[in-house]
Amino acid sequence: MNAALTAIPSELLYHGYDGTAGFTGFANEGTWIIFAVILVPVYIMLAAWFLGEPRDTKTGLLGVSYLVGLTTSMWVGMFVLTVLIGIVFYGGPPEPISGVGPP
Amino acid sequence: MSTKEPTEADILRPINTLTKKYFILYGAATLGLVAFLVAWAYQLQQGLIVTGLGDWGSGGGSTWGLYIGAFIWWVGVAHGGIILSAAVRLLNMDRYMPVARLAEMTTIGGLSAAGFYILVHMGRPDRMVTSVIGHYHITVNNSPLVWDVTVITAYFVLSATYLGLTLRYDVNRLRDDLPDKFEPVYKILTIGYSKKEDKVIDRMVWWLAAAVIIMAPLLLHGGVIPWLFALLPAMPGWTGAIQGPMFLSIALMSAISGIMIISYAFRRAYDWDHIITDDIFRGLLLWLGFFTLLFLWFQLQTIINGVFLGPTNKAVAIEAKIGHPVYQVAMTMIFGTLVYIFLQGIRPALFSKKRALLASCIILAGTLTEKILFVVEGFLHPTFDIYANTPGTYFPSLIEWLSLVGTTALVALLFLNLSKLVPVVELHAVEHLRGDHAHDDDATEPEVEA
Repeated sequence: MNAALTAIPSELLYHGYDGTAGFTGFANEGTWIIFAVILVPVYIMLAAWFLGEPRDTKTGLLGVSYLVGLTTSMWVGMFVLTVLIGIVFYGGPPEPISGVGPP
Repeated sequence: MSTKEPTEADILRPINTLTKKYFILYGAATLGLVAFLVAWAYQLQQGLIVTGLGDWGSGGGSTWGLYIGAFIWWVGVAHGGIILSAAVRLLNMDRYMPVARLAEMTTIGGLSAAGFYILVHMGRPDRMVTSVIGHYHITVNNSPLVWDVTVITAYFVLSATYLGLTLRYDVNRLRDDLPDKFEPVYKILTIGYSKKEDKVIDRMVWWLAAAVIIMAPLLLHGGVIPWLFALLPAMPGWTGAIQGPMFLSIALMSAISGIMIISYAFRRAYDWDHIITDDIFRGLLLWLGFFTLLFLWFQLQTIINGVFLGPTNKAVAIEAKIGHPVYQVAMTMIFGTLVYIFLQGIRPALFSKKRALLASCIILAGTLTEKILFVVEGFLHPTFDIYANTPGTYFPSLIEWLSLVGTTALVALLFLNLSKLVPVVELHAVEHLRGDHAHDDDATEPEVEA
């Protein structure tokens, strides 16, 4: 009986509501608001760099390397700082580098 | 306006001089920053509880306070910087060209201070990167804080790229007069430079300015940051669509004030009366007046919506707000400044740079006070007052006050360091003031004919 019940596709009998619909799972509301609304000016800027006149792909790529380089250095710098904070104040680097859970 | 002609030597003066006052200021700023770092180390060791934050409920009070208020305020200061600079480029507001780079640097400084506050307010700052990056695909969907971190990163990167790309022209032209000890830095700043790129870079920077002028005011300080509060229906002091425009007006007020103070300091230190002219201060003061007027209008909207037959929760929160002496003091300061700006508009003799400086300081103090109160009041008057029987108060602890000293010192150090490394006034501005800029209208986007 149980086996027969589980064989019924959930789409058929399950009401289909999900308490966290709209909040969890990728892609969802936040993904759209950030990547499909807020960052649109950046996409337009990048398109204009490579498609407008006068253009030079090498200079355009230089601009992109500024964007990528600065983003990387910001977050890598921050990562190093937080690992140091972890070691000095919390008994070890943060998870998942060290064990998960309180030190 | 002075009849003195601006020269390259003028804008190189900060780099090539070293005065006693500079050392004193540098020492004071370092001391301020170190004092806060010591206090922060204590907080890291003992936990956020040493500030009294982090305990809403049995301890009463509020879990967000000066740190979050100052975070918003610094992002606000950061905003106007790049917006002013972008407006110079996009809207041909050439009058402000001499302060454009100072404005861009204000953005970098303000955002650094704001980013620092995020870290300082975290209970476990060591998890900042691993939590945010490691779970980004989950948190980006449900955490306005993660939106914030994303957009602030984008904003910082765009501003720094803007500064980096525009510096290439100046560093290349002025290289012979720049100190050799920083040669490696100049090499990196001008990597792959050729004169052919000037036109392309100018066009790229135009689009960068366009992206920034849309993203920063409308989507960051008028979007993601107010959403940290406006999207929370449980806090009537915070919730509501008015917060977007409200935050934006505060950002522009504090940013213009910040730029006026920094411009005043540089003009005084390096005899730049003929570069950062009185005219610039007059213009900035009028813009300050305009945004202050908008801010007060948004405040009026908020208050009327609460006190006149407003929903009970909102009425309680708004009545508490307008009855709070701190709010009254902040609004009086801001309104008083607006009255002065109007009066000096009618009678120009009432204008002086010192008064403009004072107006800027008052606006900065007023907006910071209002922001801190705004953050705290959300917690003090929630819709469902579950902690009504354990009422608490909030007053910033010494560590929190020191954070203001520390972040101000951090921004001051940034300016003190950058002013020794690169020109803080664009070479284009000097060329423009002399009327000899060869580099002109065709550098911007061609006008679209209707």
